[in-house]
Amino acid sequence: MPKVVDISELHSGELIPVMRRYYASRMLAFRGLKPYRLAGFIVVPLWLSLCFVFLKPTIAGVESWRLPLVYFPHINFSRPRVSDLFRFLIQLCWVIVVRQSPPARTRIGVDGAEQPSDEPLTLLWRFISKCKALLFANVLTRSMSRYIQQLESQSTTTSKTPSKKPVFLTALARTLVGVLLVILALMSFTVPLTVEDQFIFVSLLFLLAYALNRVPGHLPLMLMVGISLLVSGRYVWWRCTSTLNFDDPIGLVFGIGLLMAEAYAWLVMLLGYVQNIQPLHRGTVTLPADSREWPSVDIMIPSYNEDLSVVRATVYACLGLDWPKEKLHIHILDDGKRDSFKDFAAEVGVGYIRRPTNNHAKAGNINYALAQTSGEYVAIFDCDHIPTRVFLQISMGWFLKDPKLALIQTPHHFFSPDPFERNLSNFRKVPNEGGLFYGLIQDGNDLWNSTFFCGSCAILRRGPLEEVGGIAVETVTEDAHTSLRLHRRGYHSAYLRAPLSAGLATETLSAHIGQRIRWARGMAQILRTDNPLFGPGLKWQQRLCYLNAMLHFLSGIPRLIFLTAPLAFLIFHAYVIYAPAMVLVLYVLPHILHSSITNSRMQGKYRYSFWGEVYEVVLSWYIARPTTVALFAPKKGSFNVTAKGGLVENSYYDWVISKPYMFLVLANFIGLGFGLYRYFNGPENEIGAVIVNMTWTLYNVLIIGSAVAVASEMKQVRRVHRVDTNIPAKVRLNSGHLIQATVMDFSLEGLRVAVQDMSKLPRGQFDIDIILMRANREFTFPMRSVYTLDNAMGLHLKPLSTEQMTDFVQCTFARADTWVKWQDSYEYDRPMASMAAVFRAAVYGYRRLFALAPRPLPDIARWLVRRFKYLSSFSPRKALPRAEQL
Amino acid sequence: MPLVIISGQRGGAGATTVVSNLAASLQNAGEQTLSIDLHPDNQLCLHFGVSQECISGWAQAIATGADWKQCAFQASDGRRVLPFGELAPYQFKRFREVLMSSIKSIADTFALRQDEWVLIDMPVDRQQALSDNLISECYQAIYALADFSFYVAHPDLGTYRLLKQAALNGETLADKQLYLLNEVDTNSALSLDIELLLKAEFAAQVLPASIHRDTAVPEAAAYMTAVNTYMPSSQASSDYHSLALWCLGRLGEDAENA
Repeated sequence: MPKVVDISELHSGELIPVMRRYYASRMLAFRGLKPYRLAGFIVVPLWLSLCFVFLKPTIAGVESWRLPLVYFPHINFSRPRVSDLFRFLIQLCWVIVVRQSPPARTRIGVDGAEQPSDEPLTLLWRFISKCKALLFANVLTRSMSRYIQQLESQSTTTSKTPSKKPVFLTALARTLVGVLLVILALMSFTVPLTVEDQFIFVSLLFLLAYALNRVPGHLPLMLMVGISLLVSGRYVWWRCTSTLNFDDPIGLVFGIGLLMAEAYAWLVMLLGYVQNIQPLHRGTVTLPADSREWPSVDIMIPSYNEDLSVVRATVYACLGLDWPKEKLHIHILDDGKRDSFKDFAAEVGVGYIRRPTNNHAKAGNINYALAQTSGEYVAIFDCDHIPTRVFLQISMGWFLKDPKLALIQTPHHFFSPDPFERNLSNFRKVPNEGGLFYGLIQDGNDLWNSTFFCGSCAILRRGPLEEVGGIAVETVTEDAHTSLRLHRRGYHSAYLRAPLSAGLATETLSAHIGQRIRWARGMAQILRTDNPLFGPGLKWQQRLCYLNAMLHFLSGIPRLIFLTAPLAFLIFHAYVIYAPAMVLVLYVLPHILHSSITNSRMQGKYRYSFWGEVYEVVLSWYIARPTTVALFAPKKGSFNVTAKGGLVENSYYDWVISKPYMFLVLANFIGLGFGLYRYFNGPENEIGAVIVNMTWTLYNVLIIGSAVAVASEMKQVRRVHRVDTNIPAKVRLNSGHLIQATVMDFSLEGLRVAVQDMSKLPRGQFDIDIILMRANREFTFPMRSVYTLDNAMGLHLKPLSTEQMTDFVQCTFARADTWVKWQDSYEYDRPMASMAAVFRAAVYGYRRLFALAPRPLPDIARWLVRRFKYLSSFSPRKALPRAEQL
Repeated sequence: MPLVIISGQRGGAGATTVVSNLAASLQNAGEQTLSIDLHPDNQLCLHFGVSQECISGWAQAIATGADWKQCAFQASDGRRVLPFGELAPYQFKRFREVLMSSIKSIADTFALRQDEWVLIDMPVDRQQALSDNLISECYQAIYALADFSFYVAHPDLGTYRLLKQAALNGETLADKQLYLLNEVDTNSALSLDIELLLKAEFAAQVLPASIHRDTAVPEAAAYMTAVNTYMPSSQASSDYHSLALWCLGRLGEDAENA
């Protein structure tokens, strides 16, 4: 940074060179990539002279001559254009009116007290913060939040001490309170209110919920759930009683359809609240110190058509599990009848089980193996799930503590992005589809003792498993069905929310969807053949948890209805919801808002707002048919294996997958067109309805756009799957040099390392040792270089012994710290930011879509994008000095 | 400021190299260091780029009656070194006589250095192997002043046996005396295993940071510089960095407690 010149020390003779230096260095800072234009030669020196003569050296912490660079970052002053004048004026207004530095908003503390910030505020912000303080830091909200926090701390301290009253009295009191609550709730659902009263009512409730959302703790969340239920209850009652037009048959048909879909959504919301109201974060139980008391475990690795390379990593990882060797029996259950697997099993010394038939797929495979083995416990790993060495030691403790425990499930964690994450490029940025289930729902289930078996990364007790006849074979989701049967027999289950194993996510969207179709079909089958609502042995909470899991997969048709419902009005002019637009907004908006903020608070770390809808929309079309078929004919349909470790051959647009979405996009755009027509040409009294329906359609367009973005698959080049990572390592050259390095990715075949100093490396191909660390121990693996680039080299593993391979897998795949980011490290949900992310994804989706569309469309799209970019170049920017400008 | 004594558990363990490289790493971490050679072989100064023809040093100075404080050198990376100096056989006798009387004041001068770390390259033998018992007796006075003394040892069977023997005989090291494992060979399972064993069994006496065998270290010495200058990306350089951080953390803590 150049020094500030102090002219008082100048002699007159030095003035010219000093001035030249003054201008030259500063004009260089204003120069962009291209040289100055004539106008720039006028504007910039003019500013510099002005600021030399009139301004003090620094203003607001920035050297004054840099002010344009800081506050007008989007204007290139060295090449000014006419339009820059408007950009300048817009930005000037923006800078004057809106404060630029982010911190020091009015903070309102947990007790509701306003915390003064001493930074100066612009007028607008001062006004906003005053309003905020008035709303949320007034006496009422402060005393409320303090009271709630007191209540909560009381309940946590006193809940341990048993109540002295007799049991039947408290039970009676509970029932009474429950009945009273239900009556009150029904009353508040059904009380008719005028439009004005409803407006006041929902506004007050919304303010209350918003204030509650600022109070930390569990009690405010429960209150928010209560408010959400109240508002949604009113909405459903209103929808049922006063929005169906029995005189208009078309509207009635559509209306009832929509009502059913909404009832479904409402039920799922209700069940979700029950399920997740208090997730149980189960800890671990330590094993006895004497390892002779530890039980024996059979590890089963079922495989059907997966590559040997996929299975090898899992087997090596299992060989490295910390468990007494004589009590650990590993079996490869090969349904593909491949001799290469048999040879591999013999080579590394694990069991190999091949059965004569192939019936009942994975379930049958495991059941056959159950008859061949005898360990007290059975751990099941899909052949692409790699356990860490502590897997058994951490999870087995619960079995020894609770003799009725039959199942421990751990999360399925993936170290490669699933198709959603890959196609949207948001791997590790947005919690993925499984995040909600393994982060929250299973923990919620665990509270009600209804953790589901998920087919892999789980341990079952052999006794109970054999008692229910092994793994269930009647449905295609054998896992959930098995745990349902275990629960019916009164056995317990547990969920351990710790990523103790990791695997490969499905590679292609079609495979991913195929897997979900199987789950959806299986769940629908269970709902028909072994309905959790009926039958013996379950508590009502367990029934509800299972019901919710099964209902979740029936979301296909309701989702499609939501995506098309506004079109019924816009295109066919059918009044689906027969009510004035204003009233509709007053009922539906609170329903949506409350369920969103409540869910956002409940699921914040595991599912971001709006993403759930994107996931659902992608699946809806495909699971709609199989679930319906399975509901009516549960015996139909076969098990399809989820293909993993595959290769997306070339970057293509998955037209087959996205065809239904094309249709939906088209329909929604046509709907928007009709909407515009109706807005300008329709009757006056319909405008409200048109606006409401068009907003709805726009939202649908947004969500479908994100779904379309998911369907554009990207290319995957390697045969063997590589895992991106960042582990420190050393390389050892034959000369004896040890050089620090970083492993960038690894596979079972080799790895890629970045070396800081390549100067000592020999030319061409050479042998090299890689030294990896695990638990403060160093392991050396001989490698051969394959290629060398500027600062990275690709290495291929030389043949290793089984023991060395086990160590290699332990140092790479099976080390827990390579899974850099698991759920707990995600930030909390911010709905607006999440909305913006979905919007970006949608724009990306539409751009891909138009780029691949027939001829005139791509040009139109490009032109539109250019126009949009030009227009957005006028929008004001946030102006914050970067570090080097200070 | 801290005073650290570094000596080999036996000859050839690499104590002199450790002094030079630890000084360089501390220097790199922003500390001023002064390394003092107490070894009649006068090898340390070579690691600092001092020419082999240079004969001046503190021992040479006190033997000839010159001012020993004038004999220090500063390497290009800022490390300072006080060589032993070359003594002719006739000077050696004189040195022994003077040492008795002056060692106390010399040692105090070292211990009172306010603004730098003093690293002392101590000749191997603490008990009897030095033919010249008188000198080693004189040197004992310095041990009393030391904040730490490191014994540089290789992770081999001999080291393990010595430590085990000492433990069986009930000898314990003072808690400021620690073993530093040097030349851990990643290519030898034995070397790695013994390192692991030593760290597990004698956790209180073995430094957690150990130095790997790395060709860059002798190469750096051949270039008369420290390994973190010669090849910053080498593992040995990173090992010395960890060692320096350990020293800083440990002695910083002690200073706080005091």
